[in-house]
Amino acid sequence: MNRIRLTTAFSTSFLLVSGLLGAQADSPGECDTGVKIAPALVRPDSGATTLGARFAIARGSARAKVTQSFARRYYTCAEGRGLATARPASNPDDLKARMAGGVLFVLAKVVPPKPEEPPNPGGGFDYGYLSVGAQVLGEANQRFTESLVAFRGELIYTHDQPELVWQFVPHVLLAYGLSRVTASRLRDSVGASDDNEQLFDATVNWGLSLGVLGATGPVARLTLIPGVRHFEKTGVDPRAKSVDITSGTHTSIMAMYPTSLKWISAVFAEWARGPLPTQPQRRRAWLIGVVSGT
Amino acid sequence: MHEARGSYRNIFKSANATNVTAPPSAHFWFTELSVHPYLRRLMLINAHAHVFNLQTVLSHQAVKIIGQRVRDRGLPEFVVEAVERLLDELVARPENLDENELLARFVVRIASTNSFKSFVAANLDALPVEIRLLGDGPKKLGTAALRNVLDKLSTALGTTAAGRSSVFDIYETLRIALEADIVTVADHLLGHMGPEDGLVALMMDITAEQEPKRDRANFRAQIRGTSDAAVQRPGRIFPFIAVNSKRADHFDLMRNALEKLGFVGVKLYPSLGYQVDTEPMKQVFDYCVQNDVPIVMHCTRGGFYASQQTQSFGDPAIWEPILKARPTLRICFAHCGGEEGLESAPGTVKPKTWTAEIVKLMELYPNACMDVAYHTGMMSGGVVETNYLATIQALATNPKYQNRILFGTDAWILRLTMADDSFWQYFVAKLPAPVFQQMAGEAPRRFLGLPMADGTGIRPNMQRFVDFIASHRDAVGAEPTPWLRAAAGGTFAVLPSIPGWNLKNHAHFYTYSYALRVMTPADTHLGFPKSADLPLRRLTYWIGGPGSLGFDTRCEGNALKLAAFCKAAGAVYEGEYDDDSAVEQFANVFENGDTTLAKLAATVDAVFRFASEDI
Repeated sequence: MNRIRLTTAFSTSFLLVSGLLGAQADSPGECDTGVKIAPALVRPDSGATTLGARFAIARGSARAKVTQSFARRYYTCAEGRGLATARPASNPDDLKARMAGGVLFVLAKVVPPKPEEPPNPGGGFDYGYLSVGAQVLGEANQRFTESLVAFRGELIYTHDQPELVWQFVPHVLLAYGLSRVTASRLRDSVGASDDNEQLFDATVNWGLSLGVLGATGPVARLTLIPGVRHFEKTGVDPRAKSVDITSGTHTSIMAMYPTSLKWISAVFAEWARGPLPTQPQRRRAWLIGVVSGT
Repeated sequence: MHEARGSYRNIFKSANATNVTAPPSAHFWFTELSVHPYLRRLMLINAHAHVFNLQTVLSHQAVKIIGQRVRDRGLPEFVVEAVERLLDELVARPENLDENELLARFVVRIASTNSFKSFVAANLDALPVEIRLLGDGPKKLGTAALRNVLDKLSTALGTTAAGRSSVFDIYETLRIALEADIVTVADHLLGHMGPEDGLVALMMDITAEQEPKRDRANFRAQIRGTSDAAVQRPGRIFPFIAVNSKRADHFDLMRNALEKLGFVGVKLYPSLGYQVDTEPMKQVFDYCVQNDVPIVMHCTRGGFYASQQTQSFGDPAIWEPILKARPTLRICFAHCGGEEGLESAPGTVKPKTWTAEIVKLMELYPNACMDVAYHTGMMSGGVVETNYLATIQALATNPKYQNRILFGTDAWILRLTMADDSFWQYFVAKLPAPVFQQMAGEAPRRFLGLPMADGTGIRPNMQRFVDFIASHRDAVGAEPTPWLRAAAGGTFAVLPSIPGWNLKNHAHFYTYSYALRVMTPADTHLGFPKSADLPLRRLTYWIGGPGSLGFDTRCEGNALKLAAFCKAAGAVYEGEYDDDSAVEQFANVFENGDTTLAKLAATVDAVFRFASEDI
């Protein structure tokens, strides 16, 4: 399955064409076994526009246990992904390799209706899903002048109930772990050490379906996704702080509208501002784009 | 007046208008039909067809028998092996393959056999580059390229003579036979026929004694699906229940189907491994006489068979004492005992053949008939064709056998050799119109027990059928045919059915019920019928789509919950499915937002077997 999101970026954005592969680059949890490639046109803040491709090579396996009151799935995953460009110096993104494992819990008990009843959702309770995992992660830029390895644990809470109250319950990702710089010209330039550091990373967002919020007609299919991401690095050599940032908050809001077109499954617009752990510069960006495939 | 859609009907009209001097009786058909209220045109019936899908007969035993049938069609071993592997995989893990998936899998299975590699190596210079490349191992190709490969392979093997099969024929057969539900298979066959034409739907019982649980479930699914097809296409599908005395409860199943599920007749296939001159079978025949139920019996040495020994179990000579004791039994000896009995001389049946034996029985017993299903050898032309056509005409126009030579095609199994509508076209073009009208109109009408044009003369078996359809009058799948409407009286409520989307199917009921848990309020108002085409991206788990926080977790979570939902509803895994593979299968579907709810339901149906599938 090829999932490609095409975006046109404005203002100070860093990619003319991005992809869901890229958006998934920091996705924790299970990986989708297979090989995916998404060609991209890249315009960095500085440097020349270049051609590239997002890629993901993954192999995962999982074991499921299903009973009416307790469903869970254990997974393991090995994956390489990232963005490779014809001009490595212009590549604003990085390459990643990870090995991960964890377990997904369904926080629900489902009770189906009786066949003599009209179709209905049945009973039971449903509080969403909890995924707990750990991963060893290697990360580098395309020239391997900046690289690190990290070991971190992660926890995801998410849900999909259609009731109004659940629209205001956030989806949460918490990750915490150790990282160690294995190469850094940036840090070498200020003589910083490469001792172990800690990175805490928290993301929350909300999926607000206007249909669930009470809208009717075509607008009911519009979804708003506001989100906040905050990270904190600790144990950083003070000398490194002059070339890197140790904490930041990134905010965004996206509006997404599904289409009935064959090749474009959705259109979206996104506004975002703030730094990311791998992109220390503070940025603001508008993106509008289409999602091709699923 | 309905316009005939089928192309054979145009040939039919032209044949009648220009080539044939129709006798008075034939003229009567056309003028008379124009004034009758519900038979403004002649209802044509394919008296020998199959609408079961392979999922309802698949077992390891069935795969062997099907493989043998493919081998008998003269195809090379790598095709046989590919078909057997493909079907064996579906026995282990049933799946609903769409056209592209089936095509890709079929070609890959061919390419991965050692015999194919040897074939390519031995014919390297003579083969087109596409086939040579495939010989290096399976390739990931697009649909157009795969079709091209199959086409080139068919040409390279050169098995396109009439009566033989090409690789493409095998693929096309699998494509129809592996449809997710029986109504869809039936629609394949009804599609080229006129809107009021019908077909006899003969079940198949390749009982798998060594796999009793699967076998029992499959057979019941076939009974239920065939019965449902009769309701979905009211007045056009006449179901015949397969009786196989190797099945311990065959009599009870038969009686239940005939009395409660709208079946109008019995299908026998002795070469699958049972004799007909036994006490259990005599009990079946007595029941048929007492209840005026017709029988169609496979009567040729070809077709499916359990072993070479059982090929002779269909010998019509075995029926002499059976019919002597039950002279009124309505029986059709399918395939005329084999087309070779009709091809040796013009207008004369070859002596000492099964065909000659059948003709002898027809002389003695007024309700004995035969059909021309799967007669394709004569289509090569020449003297064989001349002899065949002259003999069929001689039989059909002989007052002794008139209205007892039935037209049937054996579709979809016929697709191993040719398309169903091509078979129709051949007979329409080659036989005088009155003869064809008799074989496809009056003869099957009488055999089945349908009412005459004035509504009288309906036989008890057909009255039960009418009563059964009428008991579903609040929700039939299509407009009933005029004859049925007249026979049943009253009104019918047509709820146009979407193939593969039916609340009576518990896989669909529970999939839809589950989806209501993750459906926006606006979409819940669609109701069941309109939800079939609802893409999964409209469900609430999709918010943000791939790449959004928790998306993979929600897909996996829904897969787990759906599996738990079905298990709690009493469903058990099909084949070799277990928690791991079922959740994996569902998760793959949930990750694809283009997938419709009906497709998800088809996956649930393939993975799980529900208690309701036991009739």
